[in-house]
Amino acid sequence: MSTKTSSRRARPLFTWALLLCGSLMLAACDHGNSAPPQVTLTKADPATPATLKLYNSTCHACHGNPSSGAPQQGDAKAWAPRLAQGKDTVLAHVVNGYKGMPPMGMCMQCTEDDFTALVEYMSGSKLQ
Amino acid sequence: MSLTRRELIKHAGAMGLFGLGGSFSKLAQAAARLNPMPWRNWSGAQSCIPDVRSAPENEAMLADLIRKANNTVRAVGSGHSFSPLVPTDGTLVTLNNMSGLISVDPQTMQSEFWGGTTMTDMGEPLLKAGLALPNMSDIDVQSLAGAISTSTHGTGPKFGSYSTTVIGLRMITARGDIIDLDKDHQPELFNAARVGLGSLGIITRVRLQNRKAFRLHQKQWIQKTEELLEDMPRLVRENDHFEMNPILHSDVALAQTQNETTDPHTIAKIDTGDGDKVSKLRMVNTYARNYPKIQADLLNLIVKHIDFPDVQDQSFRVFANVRDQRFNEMEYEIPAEHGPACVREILKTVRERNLDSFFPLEYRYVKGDDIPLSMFQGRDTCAISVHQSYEMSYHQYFAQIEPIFWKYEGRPHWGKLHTLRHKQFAALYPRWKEFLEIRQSIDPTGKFLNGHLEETFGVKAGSCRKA
Repeated sequence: MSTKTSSRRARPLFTWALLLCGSLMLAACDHGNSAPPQVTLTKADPATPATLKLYNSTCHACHGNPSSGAPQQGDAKAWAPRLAQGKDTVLAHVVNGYKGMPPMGMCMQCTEDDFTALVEYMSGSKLQ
Repeated sequence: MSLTRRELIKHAGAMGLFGLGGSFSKLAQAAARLNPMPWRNWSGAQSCIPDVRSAPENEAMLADLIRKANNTVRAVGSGHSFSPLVPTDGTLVTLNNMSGLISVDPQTMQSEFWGGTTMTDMGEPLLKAGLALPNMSDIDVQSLAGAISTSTHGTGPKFGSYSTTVIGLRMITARGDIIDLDKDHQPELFNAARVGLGSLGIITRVRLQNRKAFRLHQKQWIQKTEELLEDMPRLVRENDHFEMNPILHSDVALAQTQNETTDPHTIAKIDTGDGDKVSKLRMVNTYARNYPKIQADLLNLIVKHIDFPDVQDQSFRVFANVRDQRFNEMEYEIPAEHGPACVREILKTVRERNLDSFFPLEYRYVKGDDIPLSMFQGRDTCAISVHQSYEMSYHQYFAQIEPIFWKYEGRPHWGKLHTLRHKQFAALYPRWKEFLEIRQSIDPTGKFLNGHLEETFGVKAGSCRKA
C-alpha cells in the first residue's frame, strides 16, 4: 500500500520536475541564440573629472564589481548589445531601472547628460 | 494630469500667448527644463519629479539651500526605502558629495562619518583602524543618514538597530542652523533624531560607537520550517546572529547563523546575487502555482539541492549580500515572543489562499531600545518581512498579510510599505506625542514634511508649502 502511494506521488512530481528542467533549458537556449544587433560604435571622448567622480561614488558599486552581474566598466563586449538598443532605450533603462539595474543607478543628482557621459565612460563608446 | 513633453511645450506656449499667469508659471518652468528628470526608488514603485535636485558639496551650501527653500525639502539616501518617505515636488537633496570617514579614534572605538556615506564604504576604513560596526543588515547599499533615520537593522537578539550605535549627530534645521547633538547637548532632540524619518532636519555627520574588528563564520542550510520554529529558542540563544527565510508554498526554509570566530582561515563569499535561486522559485510559481501539492513537493525538492557554502571573513564582508532581484517589501516588528506564531499564520494564509508570490519571507530578531520613534522602542522584537517581485503587483498580497501583523501588535518598518496612519501610530508608540512635540518645535512650518509624513504625523505643513 505504502509503495503504491509513494509511486503515485512520485510520478506527477517526476513529470513536473522534467517539465521544469525542460523550461529552464529552453530559456537558456533561447538566451544563448539571440544574436546581438549589428551597430557601428564610435569611441567615446575621455571622461571628465566630474564624470569620474560620479562614477566612483555611484556606478562603481555594481559596474566595478563583477559579482553584481552588471556589465563592467571597460568591458566593451558586454556593453555592445546594450548600446545597440540606442540612446533613448539605454537612458530609459537607467532612469526607470531595468531588471537588476536600480532606477537612477543610485545617482540621485545625475542629469540626462551625466547619465550619457557615465554610460559612455563605462562602455568606451558613444551613445547614439 | 499626464502630459507628454510635446504637449507640455504646446500648452505652455499657448498660455504664454494669452498672458496667463498662475498655472502657466509651473508649466512653463517644466517645459523650459524640456526633460524633467524624475526620481525613483530602488524598486521603482515610488517616484516624483522634484522642482529642484541638489547635491551640496558642504554643510554651508546645504544650510543655505534649506534656508532659502520655499517648498518642501526632502533628503534622499540610496533610495532603498519602499515607503514614500522621499517623494516631493519641492527640493530633493542628496548627500552623495558629503561621504566618507571624517575621523576615527581607536582608543574609544568611536568614529565620525559623513551622512552620505554608504555602508559599503564603511567596513574597510574602520578595519584599517582595527574597528567594525557591531552588526549590519543583509545589504550594505544604504546611506548612513538614511539607515539611521529609518531604524534600519540586522539580526541578533543582543543587537539593536544602527540607530542605537549613534552617539552624536550634526543636523541642519529648517532655519538653516547647523547644530551638534549628543547626550550632553540637547539630549531629547538627539535621541529623537536618531530615528527621525528626515522630519527634524538633514543629518550631515554621524558619530558611532564601534567595536574591535572581528571575523564571522556563516552557515546556511535548508530545514523544515516547523522544525526550525520548534527549535527557535535554542537557535536564537546559541548564535550571535540567526535568521530564517521560509520559502512560500513549501514546508522548508533557508536558515542562517553567523558567529564570531578567531579562526584566521578565510572562506570568501562567492556572491553572484540572488538571480539563480530566485529564478528557480519564480519558475515553479509560474508553472505549478495552480497545483499547490505539486508546487510544495517541487519546492521542497529543488531548494534542498541548492548549494549554500560556508563563509568566513571579516564581519562586514560576511554580513552584506548582493540583492540583484528587485522587489517591494513590507516588514512589521512584533514582540519577540510572538514571532513563531505570527510567521506560522502568515505561511498558512499564503498557502490556504494560494497567494501569488514566490519571494521567501525574512525572519529576524532585534534588541529593544529607548528611541521614541524606533520600531524597537521598549521591546525586544521579531522582524518579519514579506516581499513581492518588482514586476508583480504587491497590493493584494500585502493587504492579506498586513492584518496578521496588526493582530500581534506589529509596528511597520518606517522604510517599508504599510497602510497605517497617525491614529494607529499614536496607539503603537508610547512616546508618539513626545516626538510630535519635538518635531513641531524644531520645524513649525513643516519644511521637511512631504504628503506621506503629513499623514503619518497627522499634521498639515504650514506656509512654506504654499509658496
